Amino acid sequence: MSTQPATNLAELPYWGVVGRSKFLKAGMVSPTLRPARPHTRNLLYITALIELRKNIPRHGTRNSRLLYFVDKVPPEIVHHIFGFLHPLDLYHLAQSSKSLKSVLLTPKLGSCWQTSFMSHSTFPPSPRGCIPVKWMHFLFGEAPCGFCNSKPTEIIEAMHLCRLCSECFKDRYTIYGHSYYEPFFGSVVSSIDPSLAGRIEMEICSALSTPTFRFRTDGARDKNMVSMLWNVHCEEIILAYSTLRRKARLGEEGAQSALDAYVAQRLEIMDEVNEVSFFGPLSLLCFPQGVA
Amino acid sequence: MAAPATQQIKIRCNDEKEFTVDRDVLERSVLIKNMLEDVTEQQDAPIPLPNVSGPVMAKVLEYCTHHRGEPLPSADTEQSQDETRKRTTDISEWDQKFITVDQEMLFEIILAANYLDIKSLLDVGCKTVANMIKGKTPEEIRKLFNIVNDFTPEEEAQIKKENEWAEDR
Repeated sequence: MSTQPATNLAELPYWGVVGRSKFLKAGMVSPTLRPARPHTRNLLYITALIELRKNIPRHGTRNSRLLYFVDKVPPEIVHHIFGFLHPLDLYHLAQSSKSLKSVLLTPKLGSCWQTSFMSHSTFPPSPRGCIPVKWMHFLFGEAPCGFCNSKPTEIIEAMHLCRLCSECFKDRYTIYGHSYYEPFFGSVVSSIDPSLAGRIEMEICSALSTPTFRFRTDGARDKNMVSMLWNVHCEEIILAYSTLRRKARLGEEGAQSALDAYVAQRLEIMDEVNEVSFFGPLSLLCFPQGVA
Repeated sequence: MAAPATQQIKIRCNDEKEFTVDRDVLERSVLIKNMLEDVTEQQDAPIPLPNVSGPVMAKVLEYCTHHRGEPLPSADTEQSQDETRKRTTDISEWDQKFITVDQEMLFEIILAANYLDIKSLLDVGCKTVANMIKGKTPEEIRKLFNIVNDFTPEEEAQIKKENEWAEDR
């Protein structure tokens, strides 16, 4: 069941983000990306649909008039048919009518999503703890910033599956970069906006009542460490962490083990948060080698 | 392919239409194959197939005759492969031509293949429907299958927004 590979969003061919050089350099967005003009355009969606429309054999129907699709066909056949479809097609079906949407949301048909994801291995499967329709909407839904809903998306925050413009991002997140990333992000600290409103914000807030901290565990610890922190308490964390790190670098006795212990503690908190969070352990997405 | 291969079997559809078919052709249907294995003595009475009509059965038999002699997929391997195997919607040229029928007939064939338990034909039918849906926007899907759009105008506007930009290929 948990055999799905974790997905690195940055490796997707189309990132649907207005390019920003610093994020490019940090490898957070694809370099092939051009800024989307009207900000509601979701580049990812458009490109994926265009790609999908190529090379579809058109046959099998001389007249495509009326047929009461789902009503007429028994569910096991519907299931069988849906299993052949691309995830984007399933997403379209879910949008075509309420009854189809509810059909596609039932756990019974959940496995046709899985079959579909498996048949299209270049397509990132929905992460554990996230229902496929929600995942598809995150990838292919509207593109404006999910917070202010007016400015274009510039950042896709894969940890909590939301889209942000850079202003909202700065307001609500602190990126604390280390070594390689430091020149790009530095440490921006700002206080959290108490008047948070809106759907996504609510979800994130409930998901993250405590800050998170995550490392790559693929061995490249020092080089590729970048953490996004929810703004609560992050000054505290940054201070504690950098103090410990400095001590460790200076070779103080016991400093390395204290640093390790601190990191382990943060990871533990992270795990706890993930366990209770609405989204589940989605921070997997940020880091392909993610969680052990 | 010994003696039983040439044995002739009669079947009767729900519209009283009867067919006389070679046994090995009919045995592509797992349902009929099992039926024939259960009945040991020679019978002249036609096998009744109350769920299939004459025109559909003619079409199904056309398929079975073309694919006669091909190995039948055994039930267990098919089952276990189904989970892991990559599914493609590729259909062979003959099958494509065969399945070029109107929607009504296509769905009748799928239902018949399901009832008669002819896995390969069921696959061909389902792939064809899948190919009809592929790459279509929600609006096109609604038109294709005559699905009533029961979203509210607000929900509808939301959906439009998400799709309009893909119209200009």
